Amino acid sequence: MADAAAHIRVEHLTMAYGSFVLMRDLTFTVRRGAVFIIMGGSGSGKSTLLRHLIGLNEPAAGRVLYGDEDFTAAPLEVREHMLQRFGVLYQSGALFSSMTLVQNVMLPLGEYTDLRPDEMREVATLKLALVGLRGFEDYYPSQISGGMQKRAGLARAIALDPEVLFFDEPSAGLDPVTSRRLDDLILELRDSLGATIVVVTHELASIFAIGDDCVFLDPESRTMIATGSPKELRAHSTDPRVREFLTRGEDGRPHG
Amino acid sequence: MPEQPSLTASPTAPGTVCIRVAGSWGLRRGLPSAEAVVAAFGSDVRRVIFDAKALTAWDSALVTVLAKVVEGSRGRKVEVDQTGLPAGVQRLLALAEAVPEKQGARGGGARPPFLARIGGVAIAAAAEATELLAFLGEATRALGRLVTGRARYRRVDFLVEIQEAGARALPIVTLISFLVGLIMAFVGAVSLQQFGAGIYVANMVAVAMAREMGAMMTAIIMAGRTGSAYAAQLGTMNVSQEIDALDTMGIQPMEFLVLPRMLALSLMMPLLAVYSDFIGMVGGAIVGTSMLDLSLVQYWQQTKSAITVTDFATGVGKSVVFGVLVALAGCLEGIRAGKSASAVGDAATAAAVSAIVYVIVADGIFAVIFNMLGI
Repeated sequence: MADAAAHIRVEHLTMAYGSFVLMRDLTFTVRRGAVFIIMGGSGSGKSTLLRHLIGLNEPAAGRVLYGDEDFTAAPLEVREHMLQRFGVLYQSGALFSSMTLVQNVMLPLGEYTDLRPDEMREVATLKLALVGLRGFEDYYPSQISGGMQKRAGLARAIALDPEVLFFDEPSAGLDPVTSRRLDDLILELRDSLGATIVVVTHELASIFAIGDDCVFLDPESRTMIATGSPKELRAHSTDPRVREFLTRGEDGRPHG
Repeated sequence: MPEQPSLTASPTAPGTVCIRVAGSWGLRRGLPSAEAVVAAFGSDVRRVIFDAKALTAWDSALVTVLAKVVEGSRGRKVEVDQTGLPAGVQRLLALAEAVPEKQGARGGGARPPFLARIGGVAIAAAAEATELLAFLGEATRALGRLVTGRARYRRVDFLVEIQEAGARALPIVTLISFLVGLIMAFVGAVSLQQFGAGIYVANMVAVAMAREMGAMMTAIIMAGRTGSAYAAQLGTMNVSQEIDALDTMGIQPMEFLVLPRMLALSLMMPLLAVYSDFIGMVGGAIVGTSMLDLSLVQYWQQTKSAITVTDFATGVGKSVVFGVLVALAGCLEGIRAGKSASAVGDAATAAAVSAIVYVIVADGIFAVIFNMLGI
């Protein structure tokens, strides 16, 4: 495995809430520029793993590395600096409801750049145009649809041209066509910005459409039971749990 | 030290301008101006090409500036050839233009003229008054159904609200009433002592607490404490669509949510008011015995002779009405709150403010009525 291409490394990560161990001994690598999928059934700790990757939860054991920097052991100020290179799209967009869309996108720009307000507005307008929200700059989140809120959340996530983009269930609550467009947008942003993408999802269509690599979390055994390309896993995995998930439980059953 | 970002335009062939982008571009380094470059185009320019050979690094800063150049050029009917740009920049520019601006989406920002704003405020005020009346009417009908035993709500909710609005409010009511009694007695003592009528402090405190201050102070405390809590609870339920869920189950939110709260508050408020009356008088007694050298028995006798059951009854009667007003204000603001985090906060504030206003206005109306009736 070419270590130079490794962007995120997770080593022997154990996640726990108090004394309740959710997942243990997770070890995997995310390649630079890849779309990496975290998948598993409901309650398997996918979103919790994402929260560990971005430092919202602390690992009970193990560590997370970005490049060669140890994110888990980093002191607060170093970690804040690393966080500036991340963009996160939360499940429901997590837009600040008291701010307009353009103000939402301008917030990180105002915190971490020295741009003048009019320049920030220009950049924020561009980011909104990139996600197809041109003309909606002065709308409040409550005035637009759920799919648009999610795209506006994405515009905020890419405000600072992040190196890593995290998506928590990007297609949850979206219709298939909108969800597909969001997938295309994710790939387009990956190709043009050159970012590494980490996606938590259980939407099979998305997984096969965009996933280069994946990790499969199993809530029964409380650890990961498969890694690799989703398409490869569907074709060649010998683990019945993985096959069942990736084929919607229709594997081996008569069709029609 | 990375090279400064730069953007220069120079004519290459007749009618063609080459825009040269160079240096290291970054959001943290600021944006060179695009307007100057586009404005410097001669009137004969028909075509714009790009040269990015000296570009060392780029991010959204470059895309932002180029998007403006492209837009400005299009506005002047100039053809734009983007092939000289890095592939990623071309893709982002294409992406930014992929979805055309939605017609009619913009234009929300314009400020309406002054008269239109006055009109808008007046119409909103009228609508609000209608809403309040409709809410009051619905609450009355719900009360009617309660009396006939057809209202649907959970007994447990009612009991929890009674505990919340009753026992849990005792500490704060004790503190405030005690201090109000103390302050009133203190102010009265200073004036009355000059006439050697210090003993009448007991009359003053007793009558004021029983008729006015007991009911009023509890109402104001409950407006801030419980009324705004109602608004926040119902507002949050509105945000998470719980009120819609009740509606679709055929359960009226008015019966299920508002009725138990209104009943609990209008039952507990008179009790709290009577309690507040006594605590206020205790506060008065402390000033009386310590400052005016009255004995506790003297103060007690004087108090007993000063007030009648009617005085208590007026206070208690008013506090029932105040309870209904505080609960109504809280529930109304909560139910009509917007669906965002800040809207819930606004609703809680509005609930406390409007409840206090209603209470004081109602108190004024009571004063006039009691005066005319000679009570």
